[in-house]
Amino acid sequence: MAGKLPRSGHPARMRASARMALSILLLLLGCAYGVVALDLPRGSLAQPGAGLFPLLVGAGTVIAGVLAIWDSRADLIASREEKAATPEIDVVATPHDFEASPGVEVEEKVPAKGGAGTALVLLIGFGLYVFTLPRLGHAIATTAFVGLSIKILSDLSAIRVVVYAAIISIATYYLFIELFGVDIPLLPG
Amino acid sequence: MFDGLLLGFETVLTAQNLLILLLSIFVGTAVGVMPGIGPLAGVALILPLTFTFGSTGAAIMITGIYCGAMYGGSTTAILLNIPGETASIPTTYDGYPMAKKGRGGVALATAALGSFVAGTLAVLLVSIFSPPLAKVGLAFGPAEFFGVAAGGLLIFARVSAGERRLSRSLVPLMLGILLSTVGQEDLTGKLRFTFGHVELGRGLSIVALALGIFAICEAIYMALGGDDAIRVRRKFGLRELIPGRKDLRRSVGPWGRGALIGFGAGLLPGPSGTLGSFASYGIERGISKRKEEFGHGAIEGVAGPEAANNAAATSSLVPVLALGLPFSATLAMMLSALTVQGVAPGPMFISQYPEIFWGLIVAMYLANVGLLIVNLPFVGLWVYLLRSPSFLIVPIILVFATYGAYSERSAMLDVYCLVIFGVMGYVLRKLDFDLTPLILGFLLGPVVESYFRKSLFMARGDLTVFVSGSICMVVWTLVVATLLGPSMLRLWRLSRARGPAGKLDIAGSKRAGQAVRK
Repeated sequence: MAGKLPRSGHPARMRASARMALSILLLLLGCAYGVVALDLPRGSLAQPGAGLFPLLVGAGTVIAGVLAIWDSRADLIASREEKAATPEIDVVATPHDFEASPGVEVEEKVPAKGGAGTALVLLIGFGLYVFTLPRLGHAIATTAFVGLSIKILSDLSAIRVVVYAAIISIATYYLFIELFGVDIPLLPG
Repeated sequence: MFDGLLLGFETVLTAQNLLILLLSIFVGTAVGVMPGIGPLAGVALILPLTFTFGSTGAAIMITGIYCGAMYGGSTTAILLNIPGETASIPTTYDGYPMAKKGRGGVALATAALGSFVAGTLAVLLVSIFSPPLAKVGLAFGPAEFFGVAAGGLLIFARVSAGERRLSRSLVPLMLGILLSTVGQEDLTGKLRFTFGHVELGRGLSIVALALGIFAICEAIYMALGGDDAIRVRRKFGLRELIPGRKDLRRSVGPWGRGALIGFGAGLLPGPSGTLGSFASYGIERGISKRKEEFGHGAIEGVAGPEAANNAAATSSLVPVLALGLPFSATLAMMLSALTVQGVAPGPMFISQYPEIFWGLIVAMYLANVGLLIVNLPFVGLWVYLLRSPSFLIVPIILVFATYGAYSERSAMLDVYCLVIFGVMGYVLRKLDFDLTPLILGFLLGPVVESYFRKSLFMARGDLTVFVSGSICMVVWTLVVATLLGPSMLRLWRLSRARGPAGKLDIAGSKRAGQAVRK
């Protein structure tokens, strides 16, 4: 599996760009927070009100944002220089294997799936789980979510997925609902 | 002095508390050993369970989890070259080569014995220093507390950023403080940043935040990585775990030195365990007569850092409990557990809640004893747990975190926040931001605000109150020195590298730059 690393996909540069975007977002957040804080009663220095400290926090957030933008800019410049100095390289393989150590014998590996797509599906599933848990109840929502997670993260057979999901669901039911009295319904309604 | 220790033993040595301690050590080690879950995520996951017990039980439980998870991290560091946390990194340098030579059992036992020895020394030192420190705390006014809390946060941000840019920890710190202002304000009861949502009046939940940025974030990472589970065949017999006389002779010095270094590091704001273990490793290598063995399985390289790490964990309790100011995420969570139980750590803590304070100190000590008794014989089980596949761990973390976030206040809003905080934590971590300042900022933000307003009120609006006292002066001088020191040093070295005519000596400046980086 040989191929050229695309220039635009330079990880350091991408990360620096993302950091720049986040820093700008933080700066805007600090400004918006400060504007909202202006509506709070500030009192006087001798009798400070509820709005004084948030104003300082807003200012601090703006300063942190500016500092982060400055740092991201330096990172971007550095990554640009680094990219210019680094020739394109051939990727011969993408080693993913765990390095077996001579002291601790590694017998075999249980295959597991992963990647951005998997994580995204998992996150969406998690969002749905959180949303439906109070409506569907623990038994259905948790078993379905755990089953889905195991399914998308492994190549296990359907029967094993169901068994694992049921075991985890029952264990969490006894731990949280029975033992610790968390008031989540077991079944819908 | 030792009355307190006796009270601590009296508190912890009940059947229920001992059971809580042993169970939490066991669970903590399991959590520390499992791939992907470190001490922080472990403590975050267990935090909601502590609400079921009383304040002493909760504190003991978190202590056991913390110590167990740290030991679990050392186990993976020694056996698989995977440090469970940053403080275990130096352990990999020689622990893993020892395992490669078939001396993994001895390395594990040395780490556990080192933790025990350092724990004993640290407990004695804490017993000596805590009462006078508590008196120092009583001499503090609001301005001094504001200085220590706000200045400590800034110093922490600088130290935890390390060689990276300051913004990597300052951004999360400010985000944490910003989030802490949401909800009803303590002094006047005014609602802030709730945007008409009544549920937000109670403020955001620290449990949801901690679980989101540590546990959920970790789960996302694991799902992205698709970590293959590792099947380890290695088995350890008890005989393999017993260090020889020569090993013990070589370990005693590093244990003692590591304990002292770690104790000092624990009193500083910053990642004390990491600072202590790295400093101990450097010193052991520096003074050793067998320098060539370091990196190839020198037992001193395991004994020193492990002792330092453990002593730092014990001594870092002192500023938390005497001044109410935690400077590590785990301690911040311990403080949250106590706060939820209605216990307010602060300068009056030792006199108001002596049984909890001394109970905690003794629990940490007994946790080290428990590690020796409970954990070493089960080393085979820990190795077995390394096999746990991510496709089981990820859903378990997500379900536990959901229930954990919900159980604190029975509010679905906390669970929704959990998801948001999880994604936020992942983005921040992915972009190389440090997450610990976020939780510290969230926890200490209201403390800083309270002391800030009290200081102004008492000084009738005179802003010089923040720099007028000697303690304030010392604190702010330290803050300025810590924040600006590295940049000033770099500029000074660069100016020295310039020629007499003001021309830049390129070679000299490069050498200066390299020296600064080193």
